[in-house]
Amino acid sequence: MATEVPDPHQLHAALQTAVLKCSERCLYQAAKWAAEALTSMPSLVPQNDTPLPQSYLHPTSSDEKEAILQAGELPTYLLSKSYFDVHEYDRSSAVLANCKSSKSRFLHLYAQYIAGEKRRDEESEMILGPLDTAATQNREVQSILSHLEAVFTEKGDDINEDDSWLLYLYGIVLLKQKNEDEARASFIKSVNLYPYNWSAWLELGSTLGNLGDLNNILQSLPNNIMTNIFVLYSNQELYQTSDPVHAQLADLQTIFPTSAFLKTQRALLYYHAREFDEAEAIFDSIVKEDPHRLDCLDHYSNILYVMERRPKLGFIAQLASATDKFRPETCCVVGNYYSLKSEHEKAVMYFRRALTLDRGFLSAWTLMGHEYVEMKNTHAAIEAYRRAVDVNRKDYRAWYGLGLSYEVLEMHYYALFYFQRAASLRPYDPQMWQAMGSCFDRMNRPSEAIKAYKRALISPTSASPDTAVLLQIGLMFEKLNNQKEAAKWMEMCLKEEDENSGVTQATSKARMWLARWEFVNQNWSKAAEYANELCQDGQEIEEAKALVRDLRSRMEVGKM
Amino acid sequence: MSRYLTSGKIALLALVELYAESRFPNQSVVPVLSFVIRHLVSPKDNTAFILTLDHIKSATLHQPSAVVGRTIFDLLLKKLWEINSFDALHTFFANIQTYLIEPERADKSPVRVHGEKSMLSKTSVLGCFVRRAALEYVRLQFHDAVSLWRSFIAYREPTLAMWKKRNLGAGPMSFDVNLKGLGYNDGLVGVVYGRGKESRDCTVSTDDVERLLEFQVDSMQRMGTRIPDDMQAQLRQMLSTNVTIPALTHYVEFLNSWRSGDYPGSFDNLHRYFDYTMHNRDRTFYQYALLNLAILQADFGCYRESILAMQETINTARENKDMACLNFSLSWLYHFHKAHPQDCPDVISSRMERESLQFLKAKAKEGGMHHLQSMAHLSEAKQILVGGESIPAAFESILRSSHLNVTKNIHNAMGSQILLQSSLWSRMGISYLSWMNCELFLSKYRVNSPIEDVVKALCRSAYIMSLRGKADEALERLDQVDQECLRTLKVYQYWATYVGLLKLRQAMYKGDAAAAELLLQQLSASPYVEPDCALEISICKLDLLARRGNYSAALTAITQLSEELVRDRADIYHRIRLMVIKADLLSKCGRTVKGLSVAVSAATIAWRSRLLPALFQAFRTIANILIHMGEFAAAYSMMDNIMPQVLECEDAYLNAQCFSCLADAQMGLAGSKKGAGRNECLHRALEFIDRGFAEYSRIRDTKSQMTLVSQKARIQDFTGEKSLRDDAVKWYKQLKKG
Repeated sequence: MATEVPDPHQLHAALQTAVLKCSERCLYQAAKWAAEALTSMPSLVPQNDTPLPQSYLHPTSSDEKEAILQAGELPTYLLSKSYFDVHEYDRSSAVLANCKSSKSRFLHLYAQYIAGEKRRDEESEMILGPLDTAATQNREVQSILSHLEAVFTEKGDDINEDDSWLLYLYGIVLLKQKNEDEARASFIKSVNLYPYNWSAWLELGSTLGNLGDLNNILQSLPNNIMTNIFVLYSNQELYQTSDPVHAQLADLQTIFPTSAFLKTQRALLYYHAREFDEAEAIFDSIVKEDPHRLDCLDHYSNILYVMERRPKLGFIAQLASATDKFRPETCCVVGNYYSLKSEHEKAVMYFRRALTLDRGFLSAWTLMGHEYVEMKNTHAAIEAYRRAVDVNRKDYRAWYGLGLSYEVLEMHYYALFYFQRAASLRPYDPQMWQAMGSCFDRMNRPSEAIKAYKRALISPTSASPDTAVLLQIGLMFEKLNNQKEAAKWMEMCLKEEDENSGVTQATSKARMWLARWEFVNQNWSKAAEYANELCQDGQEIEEAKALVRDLRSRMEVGKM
Repeated sequence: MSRYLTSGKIALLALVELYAESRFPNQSVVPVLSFVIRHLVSPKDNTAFILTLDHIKSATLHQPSAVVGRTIFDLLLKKLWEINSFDALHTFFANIQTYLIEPERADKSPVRVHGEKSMLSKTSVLGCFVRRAALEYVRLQFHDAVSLWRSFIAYREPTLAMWKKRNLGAGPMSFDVNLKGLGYNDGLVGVVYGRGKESRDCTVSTDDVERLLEFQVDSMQRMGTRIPDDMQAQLRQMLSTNVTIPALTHYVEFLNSWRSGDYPGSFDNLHRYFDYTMHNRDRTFYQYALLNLAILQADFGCYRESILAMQETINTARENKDMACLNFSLSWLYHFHKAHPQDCPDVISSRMERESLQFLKAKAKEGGMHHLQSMAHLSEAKQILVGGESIPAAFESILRSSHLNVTKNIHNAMGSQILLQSSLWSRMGISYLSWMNCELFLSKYRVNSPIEDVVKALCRSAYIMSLRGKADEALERLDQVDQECLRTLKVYQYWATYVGLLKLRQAMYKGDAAAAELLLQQLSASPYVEPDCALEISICKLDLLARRGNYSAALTAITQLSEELVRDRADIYHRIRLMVIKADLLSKCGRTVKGLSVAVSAATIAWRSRLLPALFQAFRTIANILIHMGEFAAAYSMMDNIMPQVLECEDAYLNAQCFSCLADAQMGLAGSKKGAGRNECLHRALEFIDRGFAEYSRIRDTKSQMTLVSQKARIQDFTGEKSLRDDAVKWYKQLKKG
């Protein structure tokens, strides 16, 4: 997706203005992102003859009427913003009740929304407690919604950049009411009007369920560098780790050379592709450059967990804890550390703490679910995973975890549904398909199991098929009473062993099966050959020896 | 803000692990292990609290280990530096638990093979330590575990130089393996470890402070001292590390301020302590609070409130069935009643009569409270002596007490026992033994005894010395007292009273009336004096009045004093002495017959109670009266017979008086003889006068000396030895000049 490379000075000015505008409207995360992007650009040679750019002055609206309104309401606005900064949201909202400018309207409604969120959090009390359900809602949503609808009908088509913020807020409340399509439309309108509000892009991204959705909206996105960044981000979130994506990332990195955000995205792409060493190296360099940056440390801790690097994980936990003990990312890192040390109760405690700090922190829900599985508390695990998928539909690990938990509870049909969801998110991940196959197996549907296992064999990362999968396919064919096919697959499995994987339990089982098969078909010599190999390999020795004895006796009989 | 774990404990754990890995040769096992255990169990002295690496180094540096060429300290360093990341610390604690084993399954064979893991039983001292340490670590929050790690790094840092010698790859960043390749000023290092890496939390834990405070309370209660300065310094150092201080610190403050005489402060601290502990002990400790309050009030002289509080204590202790507290309070009340009979309301006194010492002894024996029992025996002995009853019975009680002390190893009761023995001997007139006992106590039993007893012994031995005439040496002896002991107010007052007394005597004998008056005023001003001190002071007062010739005032004073003593049912010795002095005064005033009767009754009582010095004084008075009445021969033979024993008493003043009495008798006899007999008597008289003079000069009683010299001069006049007479006159003049 190619947009034109923007003029560095313009981009610089646009980002600077974005920072100021976002922080004015109390959208702190967006302001932080824009500032980081701004500072990661190479420094500019100042052009001598331009006057002080507009971004140094207080950024006002380009529409004159609007600008006058804003100037008039400035004192009230400043009062309201100061109340917001000390977390007195209701008060902040009340001050701006009668103001007319778009900016004031936005802050009035936004403060109301945040107040509602805060009350909802307080009412929900404990994490995973009885009150922590979807029933506790943000009560302000309805009134905000009606207010905004009134504004939009009043304005009709006359909406400009200033209203992009209102559209953003509209989208958020629509999402709260689970009205995804309209929300998406609203967000698209918002970013078209003002592309530099990263929060709007993030919310838009959360409405995309899969690659198809992304492709559908591509046309309606503005022709701006921000779209490129968004597309890259969405691809990463949807686990698309192909080379074109990496190339897009490289392009962006020419514009923002030192951006930690982009580096993180590259590391995450490697992580999704399971290339852990490169990912770890990139994260390590990010940490060294900016030791206080906590933003993606939880992903880093996941990588170190998978690689089982205990000392390093402990060190990262120390680092995070030294910067800020009470951020959800820090708590996740510490929880991961304790999980790696097999102290599961402590790990759960820290994940809970992360969630108390931020109920929407996805990875904490999923990781807590994993811990409950380790502690054999299946019901709590299911609930944790369910909350994870409610927060973010695209987390395949949560779906997979749900499937596994239901399998443990012997509810296979149910588990199947979840595995299908997981597989649809990661179509080339053999683990999902394998799980589905075993599910079908347990439900006595071998033909579907075979299909699933065959999908599992197709995986772009590992070059050679997994012997266990081959074995399973063979066993499925046996169940279908198709012994010839089964034999073929068993032989393929053995061939696999010769070429690549060496003797494993799966191959030994295959060999055993083949030995018995040959025995049944009375090919004594072949059977004896298999049995002898088994004896050498040291697996299932007793059976193999029994078979050998039996064969020997038969062969002698045959000779005689 | 650690509760139990500190960097020092980690080092101890590493040592224990080395031991469990059998890396100590046999001869090193005992010294190193005893060092380790000293820091784990309740401390016996004040060096076992803060554990720095230097202490460990000095204990282990010279001990060879089972690995050739390496000392135990080297192996320890290797183990400590192997903990090279936060995760490694975690693994260390997980690992150490693998050395524990159930006691039934423990391998009984003592043979250790080097390098082989030998297990620690879970119930042994080391095993308990390991278990506790591991448990405390698991309970630590992440942040606290990180602080422990950081303080451990700071703790270990000084040994980097030694470690580098053995392991050349070590550098300044080797404390954490994750920091390989980074420099000291790197941003990452700064964030994780803070610039400068100082961390003073976790060098001291709450557990250490509690041990220190318990040790302090124990020694203060047993010895009666205040907190010594170096202990206060240690405590201050510990407090500066932000550690949570247990409530016991208020109790320590209370004891400290009590001993120093700060009445409001000690009240404050006592109430504060019990307020803080009330929430986890509630009513079960109420009786102890009351007990402390009662003793405190008695100490500061509020007797009525003290009795009331003590009654409450007894009732509460009965309610809570706390036998130990009950027995202690009853015995305390008994002694209080004996000491201050006039302050006890009648209810208490009558009860005290009924609940006599027998009851107390029986109760103490039942409760297994040996100290109390021993003290009860001593009280019994004291009661016997005070009542003037059978001496063998008193000895029996003392022997019982001594037996208990020795068999039950009650160190701090030795003081009271030996002091009682010493006073018994001096009452029987064998002052050498009395002095010997004091010296014995001071040289051998000083260490574990309460300081009050030590100071009492010191004062008594000084007093005995002063009686012999060595007043200057006595004062020097008193100055040798340990300044630390004097920080307790009561002890200080006792000691100061004795010093004043000795000085008063000196001044009195020298004839320095002004100084004597001043000292007397000072001494009488103090309201709380021990009864024996009080007696001595009164006697000095009377003596002073007598010397000045103010006999009427003296007689009034003595009558008043006797009445008080009778009312208080005081020590019979005191009463007899006063009787003797009264007889003396009466005889000086000329009422000889009355004096004689008083003296004779005093002598009878003294003989019955075997109070020999008092007996001798009574005899002397009788002899004087006889001389007044002209019965010279009787007087002479009486005094002659008792003289050897009088000399044994080693009381210079008494000796001198007896000699002068003898001289007077001889003079009287000389008067009734003629010629050679007369000369003999005169010569004998001169001899006695010389001896008397020698005694007086030992105590430097100038006035009496002058009297004797003038007598001598007159005798020599009679005998016609002019030159000797002139000598005597010269002597007199010299004495007069001073």
